[in-house]
Amino acid sequence: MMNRKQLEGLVSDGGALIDRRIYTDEEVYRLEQEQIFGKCWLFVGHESQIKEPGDFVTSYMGEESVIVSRSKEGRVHVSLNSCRHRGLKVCRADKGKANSFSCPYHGWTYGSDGSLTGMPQKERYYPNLIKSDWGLQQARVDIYKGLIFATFDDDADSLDAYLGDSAFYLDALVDRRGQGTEVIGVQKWIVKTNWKMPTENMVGDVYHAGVSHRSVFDMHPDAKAAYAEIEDSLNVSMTGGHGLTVRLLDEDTPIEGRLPCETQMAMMEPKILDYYRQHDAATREHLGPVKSRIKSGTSGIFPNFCMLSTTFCIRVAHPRGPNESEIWNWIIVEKDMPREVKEAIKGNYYFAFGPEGLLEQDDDENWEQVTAGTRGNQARKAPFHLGMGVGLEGEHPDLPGKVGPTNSEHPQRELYTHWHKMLLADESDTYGGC
Amino acid sequence: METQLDNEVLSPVGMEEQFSLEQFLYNEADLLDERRFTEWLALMHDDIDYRIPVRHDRKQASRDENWAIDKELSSGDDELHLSVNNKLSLMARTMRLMGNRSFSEVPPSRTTRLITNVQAFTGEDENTYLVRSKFQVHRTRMERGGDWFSGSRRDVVVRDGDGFQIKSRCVILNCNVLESANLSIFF
Repeated sequence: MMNRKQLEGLVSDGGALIDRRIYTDEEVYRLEQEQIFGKCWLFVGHESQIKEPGDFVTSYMGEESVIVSRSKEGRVHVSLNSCRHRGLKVCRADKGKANSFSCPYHGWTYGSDGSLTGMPQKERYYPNLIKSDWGLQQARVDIYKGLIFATFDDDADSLDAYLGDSAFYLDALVDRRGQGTEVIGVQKWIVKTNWKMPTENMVGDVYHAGVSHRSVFDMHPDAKAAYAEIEDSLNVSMTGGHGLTVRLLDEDTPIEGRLPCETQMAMMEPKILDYYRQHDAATREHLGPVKSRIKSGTSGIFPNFCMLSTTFCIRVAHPRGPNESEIWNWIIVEKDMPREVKEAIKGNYYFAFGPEGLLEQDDDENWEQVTAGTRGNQARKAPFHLGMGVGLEGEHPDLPGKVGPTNSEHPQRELYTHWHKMLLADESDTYGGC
Repeated sequence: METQLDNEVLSPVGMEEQFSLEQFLYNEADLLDERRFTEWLALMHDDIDYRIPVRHDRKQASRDENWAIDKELSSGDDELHLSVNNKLSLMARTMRLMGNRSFSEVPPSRTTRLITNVQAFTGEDENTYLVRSKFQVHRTRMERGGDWFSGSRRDVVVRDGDGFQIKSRCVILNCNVLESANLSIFF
């Protein structure tokens, strides 16, 4: 078991040196469940999945199964999917509509707001039980432009404060014209990697693309051109451990270059270009002079919510032990997009991401091999090097956060520095009694 | 003799066609196991629709509603499948499998496809067949570990000269969460 001093040494040199044990150590993982997944705002779903009262989807907050539901009154609830009597899941479906959730063991029954509505033999054997004390445990819920977040921490800052500067960049994906978005999904699969690897990759790792994804870029000159564009991006790190790769386009960039997706993708499906051309003026007006010139690549919102904006993908890596993650992918589109445009976006997504995606396959392979590379007792005595481009980041006249060139690992350093701070934040005796 | 499947009444093909279609499927699976991807791709029709739906756990809308498999499969506009391919994307995938920089397949997967329970029925015309089969696919890669995939397939097979081509294939995996890092292989 690690003592406090060893825990303090896990991240050093401003986040540039990372002890490999943060990916494999059981004790670190156990601490993360309380200090990170017990405290952060976690993405659990989208309002479009639960449009009507009684609609629900099941999701996860860390390892905890939760029910995301809309109550009779139309409020969004996030309830722990664990009966207060003996702990069974009271909901076994991935999604659906239900007025109540009943435990299959003894029949304790809960409403769509998570409140205990009854159990067999209540009058005779539970005369003094106060039902309002025994509802499903509730997480705090807040919604950012359709994205539902929840936290187990009653003392946590507001969601707006938590998202901080990342909301500015998020808007270019989820609030282009104020027309609302909806999600399409979800794909779920297992990658034998620590949950931090996907986030680390997406807050600012363009460096890997030219090597890992070479097989895709070699396929077609257009793919090579798309890669050249992302190489010319900026990396942004933000307070709170969020980060992204982004380009700030010139004001006179023609419409073809200003699409949120890859230009090449729109060229393959003229309906996409038509759609964006039709709404260009309204989008510029709504987003304003700076946000409308943002073209995001990959981004990560601490701890495990990520986006691949050019394929409209949003995703979560749920922790499943130190060496395994369950990846959930959706795509997010504007509600008023014509069906053909949504279908074209789906087609492009399948090609690149998800379990069969040609880019995703190589990413998942890398993350599994990173995890394999953290196991050896000797190997893990040498820390990982995250010192690329130290000191190149700084203030930017237009963009919030700290901004540096693409090939600077400052978002990764910020991510791990923040992670480390949260891991150690609790001054109580959480640290295994050490 | 007629066979009832999911409210569809289908007519099984004769013994000779049954034999030819079985041999076609075994040969097709063997081409994949042997990594002869160019030859495999030639068995895919130009209009091939290859897909793997996501399989949900669902709630019955009422007590007397049945548990039909089709209701568990992703199908709506608001859903993603695990895999969707046409001829062009299959071409890209096989091209990549044959390259040396596709790191999820360098070194490549070692696979064995067991194809069984083949049921062949007459299709919409004399050159079209509906063929159902079950599979177990085992894959290992690098030193250790491996994946087992089990499920069934619903194919539309069309006659192509002396042989056949796959016009559409729907792969129904038994899993809800896919317990594998990727679907770099075909079923």
